[in-house]
Amino acid sequence: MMFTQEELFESPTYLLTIYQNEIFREVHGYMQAKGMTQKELAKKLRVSDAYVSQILNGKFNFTLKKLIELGLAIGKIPKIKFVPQTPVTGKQKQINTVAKKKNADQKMSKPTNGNIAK
Amino acid sequence: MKIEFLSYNLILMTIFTLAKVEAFETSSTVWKLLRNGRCFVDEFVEEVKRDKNLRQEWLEIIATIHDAASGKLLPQKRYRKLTLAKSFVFQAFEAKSFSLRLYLITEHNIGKILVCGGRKKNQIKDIERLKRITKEYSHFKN
Repeated sequence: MMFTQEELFESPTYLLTIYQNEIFREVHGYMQAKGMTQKELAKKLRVSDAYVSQILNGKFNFTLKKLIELGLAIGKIPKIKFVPQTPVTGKQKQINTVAKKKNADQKMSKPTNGNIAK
Repeated sequence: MKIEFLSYNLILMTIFTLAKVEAFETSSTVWKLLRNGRCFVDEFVEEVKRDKNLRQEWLEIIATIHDAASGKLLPQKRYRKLTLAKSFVFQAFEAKSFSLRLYLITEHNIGKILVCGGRKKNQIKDIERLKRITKEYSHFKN
């Protein structure tokens, strides 16, 4: 497919599309739940129909302030969290699993040691 | 990982292979369809590679496929169900960017199967190709 998973996570276009799709789902879900039309949402947001249309086409690429306003208009707060760029690849998962197992083993061994000490 | 389906025609033998697309870790597995070792999706990717302007569009399509394979709802402008003949046994879809199209089918218990791709201007011809390949795949599988 031309790109590895690591390369995809380094691409602003890939990530932008993923987030635009997410914004579409939130807005679409809200409109469905409220039985709201595109026009009605535009009126509520005090924006043009074209603006809402852009969101529903998965093309939201406005300012951070607009994103917050949009979130508030649909009764939600966008939460922004920065995570390390390295995606959870199979290799990473394996490392995590090993680390978890190690932690679990340590936890298991602690009470035993404690009992011995007593 | 590869799954091979061997089928026999009266004259020619056709082998369909599904090659897993490793870039995705999604709820539904994504595959590429190979007919007698020939992968139309790979051929399309090679075409896209030659045009640097299409790189960004291809990334959009990949993101769309990722979401589709994760069972997420997508905008019609990015991903739409194709209405094909009633005899068509698979559900067919089109992932879209401004000038690129990627055609895929969903198969129960298998996942998303990428069949072929093309430019917007060749859409009709490419959908015909999708129908032809998929019909053959379905026929030989059964």
